[in-house]
Amino acid sequence: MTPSPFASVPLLSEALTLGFASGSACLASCGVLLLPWLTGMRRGWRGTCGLLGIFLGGRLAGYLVFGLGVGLAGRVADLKGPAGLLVGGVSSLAVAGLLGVQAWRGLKRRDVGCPVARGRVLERRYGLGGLALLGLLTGLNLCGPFVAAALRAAQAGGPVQAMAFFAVFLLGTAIWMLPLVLAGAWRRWEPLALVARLTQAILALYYAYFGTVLLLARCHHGR
Amino acid sequence: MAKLKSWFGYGAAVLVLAVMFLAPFVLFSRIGRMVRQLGLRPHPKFSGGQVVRVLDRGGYQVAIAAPAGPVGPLEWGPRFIQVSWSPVAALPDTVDERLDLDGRGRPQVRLRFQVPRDPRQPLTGQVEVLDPRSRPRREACMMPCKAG
Amino acid sequence: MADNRPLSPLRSWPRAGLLALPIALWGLVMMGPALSGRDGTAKLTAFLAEAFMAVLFLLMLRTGQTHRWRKVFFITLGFLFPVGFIIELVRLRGSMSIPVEHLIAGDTPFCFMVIPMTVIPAALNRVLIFPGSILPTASNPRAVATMVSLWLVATLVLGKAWCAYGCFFGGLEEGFASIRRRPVLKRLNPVFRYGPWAVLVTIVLLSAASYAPTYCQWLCPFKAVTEFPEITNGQTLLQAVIFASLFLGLVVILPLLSKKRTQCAFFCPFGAFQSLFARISPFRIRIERSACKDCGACSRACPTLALDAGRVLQGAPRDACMRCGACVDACATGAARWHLQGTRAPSERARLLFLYAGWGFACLFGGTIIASSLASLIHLFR
Repeated sequence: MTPSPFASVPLLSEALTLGFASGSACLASCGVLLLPWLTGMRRGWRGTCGLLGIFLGGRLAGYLVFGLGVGLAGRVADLKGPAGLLVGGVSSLAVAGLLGVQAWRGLKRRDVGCPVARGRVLERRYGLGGLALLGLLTGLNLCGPFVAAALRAAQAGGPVQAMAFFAVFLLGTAIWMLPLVLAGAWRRWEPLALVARLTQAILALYYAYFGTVLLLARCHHGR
Repeated sequence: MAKLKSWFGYGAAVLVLAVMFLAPFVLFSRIGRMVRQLGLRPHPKFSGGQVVRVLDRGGYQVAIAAPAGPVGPLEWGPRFIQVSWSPVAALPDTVDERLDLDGRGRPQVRLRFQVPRDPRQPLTGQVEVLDPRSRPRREACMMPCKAG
Repeated sequence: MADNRPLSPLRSWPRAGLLALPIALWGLVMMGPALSGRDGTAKLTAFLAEAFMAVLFLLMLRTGQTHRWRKVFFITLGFLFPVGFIIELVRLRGSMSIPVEHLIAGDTPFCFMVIPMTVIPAALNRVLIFPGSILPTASNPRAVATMVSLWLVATLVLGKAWCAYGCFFGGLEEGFASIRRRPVLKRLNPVFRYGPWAVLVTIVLLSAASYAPTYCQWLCPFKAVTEFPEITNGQTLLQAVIFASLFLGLVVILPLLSKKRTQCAFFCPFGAFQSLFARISPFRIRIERSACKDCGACSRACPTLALDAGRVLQGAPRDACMRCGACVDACATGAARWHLQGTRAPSERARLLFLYAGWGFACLFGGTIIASSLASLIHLFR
């Protein structure tokens, strides 16, 4: 009997609903990182939409990899246990590193005459790649909604279904990210970009501490 | 136009002075009432959560609150259940309680502590987890447990 | 016609006394609650504090200088507030540290610095992310309702001038900045002027995501001289180290070396928050270009880097201007002047109107804090 093309609709609509319901939490946790990054890049409306797309693309990549894993395994490891602490710790430290370098480059460039072209090259090489990586790392943030999605995806019936579940879940959360496009409205105002870079520097310290604590908790758990 | 602007300027200055000198007599109380009407409540992780059950122990009562603690995406820290004993004057010298925290009829923890008569003395006690399904916590009650 | 004359220091005592009378009467009103009580010490200190404020106001009018006398009040407030606060803490709890049961009981006094962080969680979920109480209680008179009322009135009356006439923390660094005659650090990187905004954005975003007052938990330099969570583990130890380091660096050492209010200029998120309301107040500082000699005295005098060569050319300081009057006092030609928005009021008239409001608030808030701190000190030594 040929499976109905609509067999997966209930699962996907569940994913969309879960994503939309969790979107405010995603906005809160991702917005902390994304808003200063987008503001600091000073790209205008269209450019910022593109940047948001790159970020969500990185996030999608992370979700798909995770979905593939849970779909193949058919279950989810204890995400609040040692595995979760390790993933959370490493990703937080990586985020801290990304933010720190992005802040440093943005603030340092102000001191070097006006190398606009050179600055753009740097931004193109690092800023976009960094943003995609940021998306990937925030995708691995093991918050409540993500854990709920992972548990449900593990029961989806296979890796393809699990990946589809995560992709639609991302779509539900992504709707909440759209207001972040407003960061492009103040492209011409340099002080705002400076504030954004300084904010990234402070956040880098915060995430470095956060990641270190998680890894220490992981080591303590392992004893 | 210049005259109108000037009127507005002086008017604003008079308004500022009026706000300043009326503040202690009228404004503070009104603003305070407005703040009250906003319906704000302290986050349960600071206030201890809503009381869901009160156990009567004769002279004193034991209030058990709903589980509270971090729930948001970047919130972190342990979740906890707040248990309160009152009135302090009616408490025995030593309190030894087996508490059913989730209301299912089986006690999950045993709490033992000496009641300090001086409120500035630290409260120290022992926590024993009775239900093997409960995750053991070093601090299973709201007072800082320095032993056990 | 605009008044280009320099503020004349030759003001008659009778005129200054007459103009100071409303503030003296206001001081009597402020003393009212203390006078009606039974505590003789409180009556004495209330009288001393309000007399102190009235005398300073009189001197402001007599000499035509604002910053010089305002600074005396502000430094007094900055040093007496923590003294009184610590004495009260030790009397109530036995130490400056906050035990967790006091946090949970809602006994933590609500500080105005928390206000920016509470807005988003309060707006979204009607939740207060602070271990305090909404209404005043016997054990916590500085509840949310009280402090928010004070803040709202201060913002309507002073706007950004809160930082020069209200803030009970700023006087500490103003005091340290006044010690040396000349600065050792003469050039400070202007990029750090945006620091307060970065700290504000960080704490607002993190507080909204973590539902906790991030600034109080990690970044407040003044925890070193008020109250802080009990040191019971590595995290609380790290927090204490951060508080102490920020205090020493931003409030003591940098102001001492640079003669600037570096904590306010480079770090304080509440100052950035108040800058959002800088335009509410109709009282401004203006630089009259026709009288300006571009000597830079106003820029050198400004404690928060609100004035530099570029802003002098534009004729107005940044929104970081706290109306302290330092630039006006430093200007030899009268180019830097007080201005009432929309009017051609003479500088002296604009200054007087502003000072009635600003000093009135200072008497209401700072004056009563000075009185209560003095009373605590006297009780301590009795």
